[in-house]
Amino acid sequence: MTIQMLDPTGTDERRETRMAARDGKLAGKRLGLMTNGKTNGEALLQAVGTLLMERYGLSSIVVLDKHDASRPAPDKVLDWLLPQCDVVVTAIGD
Amino acid sequence: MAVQEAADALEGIELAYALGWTDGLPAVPATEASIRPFFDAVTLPPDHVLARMATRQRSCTVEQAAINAVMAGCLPEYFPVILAALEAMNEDGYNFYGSCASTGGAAQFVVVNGPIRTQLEMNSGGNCYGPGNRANATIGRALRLITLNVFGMQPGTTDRSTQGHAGKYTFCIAENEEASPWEPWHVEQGFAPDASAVTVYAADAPHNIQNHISQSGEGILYCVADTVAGLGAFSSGQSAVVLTPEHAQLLARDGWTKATIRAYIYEHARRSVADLKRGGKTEGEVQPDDETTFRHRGNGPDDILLVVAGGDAGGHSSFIPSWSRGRNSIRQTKEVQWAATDTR
Repeated sequence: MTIQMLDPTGTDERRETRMAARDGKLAGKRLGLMTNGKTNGEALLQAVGTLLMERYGLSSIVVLDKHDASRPAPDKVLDWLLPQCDVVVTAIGD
Repeated sequence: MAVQEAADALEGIELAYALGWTDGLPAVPATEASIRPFFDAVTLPPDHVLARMATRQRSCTVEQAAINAVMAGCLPEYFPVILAALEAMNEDGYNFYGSCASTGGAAQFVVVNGPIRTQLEMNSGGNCYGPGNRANATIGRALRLITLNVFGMQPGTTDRSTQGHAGKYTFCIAENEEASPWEPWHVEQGFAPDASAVTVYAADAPHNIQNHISQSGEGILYCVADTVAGLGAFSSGQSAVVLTPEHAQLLARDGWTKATIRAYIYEHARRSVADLKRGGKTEGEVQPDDETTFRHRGNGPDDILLVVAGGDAGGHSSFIPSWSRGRNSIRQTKEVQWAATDTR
């Protein structure tokens, strides 16, 4: 007699999301750099910011450390950051 | 409920491997008939959501927990302990997702207190960390299978542990309340002595505190504090210290209480800033003041989870560092309250 084995896996409740639209131009854009709070995250992103500024002529750069690498950025952090930016780069640097 | 057909249990074990449903050990195939007694053992309905991992956007119901508990080899009467542990892991302060995803390789260290320990014939004595006791082994394993299967925290993708440790298979003990000279842990936390409670703590592996020679409580604690202050695991995170009955009895004989033990460990488990810089625990060149400036492990004495467990012979206690290097994960304790039968 066969057995009917129950599936132990969970249900992925994520809704479909899409990438933000890209217009392919960084010139004059406001760049946000969000580090995860680990030791080298800020150094890594500062280097990225410098390169992007040199190559594409950004209008401004805002750097933010979310402090807690093991949790998502809190809403209040994003609410503060996003109005100041057109583009955000985030990175882990350990 | 989705099912997979297998010719028999042995084929089911192999099918579970093929489907990626195990922790690397054989898992008992779960069927409708085998999960039903688990529903009967608790007062919550099968569709009740016990825990949710927001980052992964996955939830764990009583039914999903029961399937994984069967696969781990649990008996139905263990199920209320598993539900309490899941409730504890679901507390925001525990940081379930972060502790599972991190390179740090945390396990869920589970401590069970109160009458349910004896009802489930849990092991709080020799080999308390294992092997040999079904309840200890399979309760801890059920939580790992739930983490793997329900929440999808899989090694190599969402679980990025650099090394992990053996406690990630299972890591569950009961406090040896009978051999302890002091109040049980759950009573210290405000629960009634006849209540049962489960504590979860995102944990590194245990470090042995071997001391067969000291004939004073202070000698024992000197060795404990030195282990807790070890540079490799040093941080401002919490600690767990599991005293073996032999050490506990010597300490009690000399008048030490849990409060004074914690105070001693906190005071002495410290490193100079110079040491922390030399050992790569903090950045910067060593400055003259660094030799005489000290950092303690944890935020204070109450950061130390202190329980008694182990066999009645041998000078082996243990220190279990937190996964968290700061306040990213804080231990949680919940009463076992969903049992269908009286657990008091």
